[in-house]
Amino acid sequence: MNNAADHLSFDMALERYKEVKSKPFRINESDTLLQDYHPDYAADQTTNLNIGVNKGEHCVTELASILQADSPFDSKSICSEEFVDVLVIGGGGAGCVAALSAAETGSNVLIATKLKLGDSNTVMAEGGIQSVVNSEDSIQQHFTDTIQSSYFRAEKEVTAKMIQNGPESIRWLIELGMKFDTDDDGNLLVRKGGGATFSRVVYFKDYTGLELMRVLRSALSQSSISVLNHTPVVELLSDNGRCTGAVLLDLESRTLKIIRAKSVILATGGSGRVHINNFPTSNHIGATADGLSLAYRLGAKLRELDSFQYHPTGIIYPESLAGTLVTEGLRSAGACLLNAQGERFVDELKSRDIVSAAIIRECENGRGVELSSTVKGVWLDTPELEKNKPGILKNQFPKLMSLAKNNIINPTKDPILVYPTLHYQNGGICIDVNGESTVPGLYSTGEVSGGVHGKNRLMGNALLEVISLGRVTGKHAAITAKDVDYGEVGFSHLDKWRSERQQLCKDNNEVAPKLFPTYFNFRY
Amino acid sequence: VVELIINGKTISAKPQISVIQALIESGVSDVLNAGCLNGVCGSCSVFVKYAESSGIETELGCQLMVKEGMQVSFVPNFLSVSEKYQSKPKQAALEIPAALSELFPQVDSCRQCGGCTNSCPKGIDVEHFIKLVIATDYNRADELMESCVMCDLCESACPEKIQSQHLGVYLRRSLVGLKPMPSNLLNSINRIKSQEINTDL
Repeated sequence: MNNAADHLSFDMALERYKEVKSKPFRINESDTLLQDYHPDYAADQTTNLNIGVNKGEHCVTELASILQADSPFDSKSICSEEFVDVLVIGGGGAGCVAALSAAETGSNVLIATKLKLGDSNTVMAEGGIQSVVNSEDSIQQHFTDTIQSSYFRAEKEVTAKMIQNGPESIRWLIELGMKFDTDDDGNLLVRKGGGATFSRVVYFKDYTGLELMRVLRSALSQSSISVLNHTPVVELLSDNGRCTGAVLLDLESRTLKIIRAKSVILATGGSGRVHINNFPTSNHIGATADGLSLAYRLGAKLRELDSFQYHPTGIIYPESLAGTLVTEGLRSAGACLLNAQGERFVDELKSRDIVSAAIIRECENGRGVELSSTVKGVWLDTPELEKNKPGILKNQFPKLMSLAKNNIINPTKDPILVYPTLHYQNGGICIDVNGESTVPGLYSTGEVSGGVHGKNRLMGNALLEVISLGRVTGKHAAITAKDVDYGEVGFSHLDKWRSERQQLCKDNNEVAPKLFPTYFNFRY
Repeated sequence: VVELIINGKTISAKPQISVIQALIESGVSDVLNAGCLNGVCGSCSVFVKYAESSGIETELGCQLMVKEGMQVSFVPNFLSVSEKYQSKPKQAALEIPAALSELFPQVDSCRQCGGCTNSCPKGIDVEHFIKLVIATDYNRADELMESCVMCDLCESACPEKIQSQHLGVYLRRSLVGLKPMPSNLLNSINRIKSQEINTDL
């Protein structure tokens, strides 16, 4: 084995890549790969929570400080009050799907979103949506694949519901006018995701999320749903243990507004911009765990707070693209991963945690391409894929190829230098089969919710969760709203929280939701 | 180190980073202009003038590398909306031309000035898209707009205020509505009606 001093520099490794004609295959998957190299398993990264429903449980350190933070809320500055049946917090894929489904029941729905409608992780999703379409496949097999890849940690009933409703949800999207790639007979084409038994990821080029988001935005603009852009939630309201609405902050006027709602749906997305373990992230700028901190203060139970997905192929060169994702669809189509010596070192279609751990192993053992003493990576061999399937990059991966337009990278000529990037929050708010949290009146859907991915998510199961459970959650929240009255505007949960903090979290000076990453210098 | 001007402020940046990374690292981040940082949300549109040229170009700030002497100004995104088309696209699809002239009447006034094409940060030939729409070549028109990120720059560049970005989505939704539902999907929906998942693995 080489030692760390033998790392090849970018130029030397590129030279080496071009020399090696036939790529040797050095598969080396030991039983302890994850324990040795996956960031989730590093013992010093977690701490125990001191307050709240999950008190005493493991949580990654960066997230623990946000979950146990104080609220920015100060009742003196409230300007206005508004009433709706269903308040949806978050304007990404899950929020839009839930809002549309809630509105289908005739409810009065409002979406409040921190960025603008559609700025989200959904819009970037490239690979596709995992759902059973072909006859050799079955929902049982999809379920088994998901549970096994989750290390048997996924919530079985909720996962089953998500998978059962998958094909019907794809039909719902097509009826809304979403385009998918099809064969000459009009049948949906499928990709095979890592860790899946059959090919069942439906897609639109590498623009699946963009196309989904464009259609959802368009459908929303045709509906009766109101949208408040640049208006994050800073605190939730409670009345006798029930969630009764939220306090919104208008980022432009800097005023607070109260929304009183019969049902509240949290669809605030993930937490990549917290940069757990100092990893770069593929996430959009607003992924700062806002929903988790809001729900936790109100008493909602969370789960798998020590489990995150590091997507194997984040671009690391040039730096302007740091964190940008290259879709698993490329590996699915046959692109290989190569170390600095030009050797393959892992079955590229193993699940994401294993492929990521293998890349980290190569880089920690002197077989990575060295950009600097701290930044190393491996090659994703796109030129070889193009050679074997001429035209595939241009036809199936236009989003990737648009980077060639500005001469940033040239995937047909040079391999892409990649390293795992913080991609997805596997856990989140506990939900039941209707998307309801442990707090009555508070629902959650999309990445902020937890349960269907356990400790590792399959490609295409995030968008499946967004559309399948998003619909279930929106519908159920709206139906519940028909049977309840508006509650009081209460903050008793906050008084309790603050007194617990004073006793047990003296050293925590954080205020959350963070709304923006620390390098944004955002101040309340 | 590269020196450039962003929103009127002189900023020193590392080479090889994007304009929006330079803005963030300089500590004057504009929270309302940052989104996915991945070239698909359309939030970080910029005007850019390079040191060596006199013209102004439009780009996405997250896809534009810093360059010595470059002047950059971020453009606010007001989220343009289209006329409401109440019916589902499927119902309107059979009469696409009539629906188009009702919903997007400005199309017929296209002056072929090239403003839309020049403004598109994704490099889409938007003017050609409009030509194809006028020629009722809808499938080719649709394909041209597949990479549109709804940044609204084409609409703001158009003297006739043609909403090409919304027209693209409308057209795609209509064309999807015209096609039969994929039969492998319908078969799958029928098949799983009688299937139950055994959760006891």
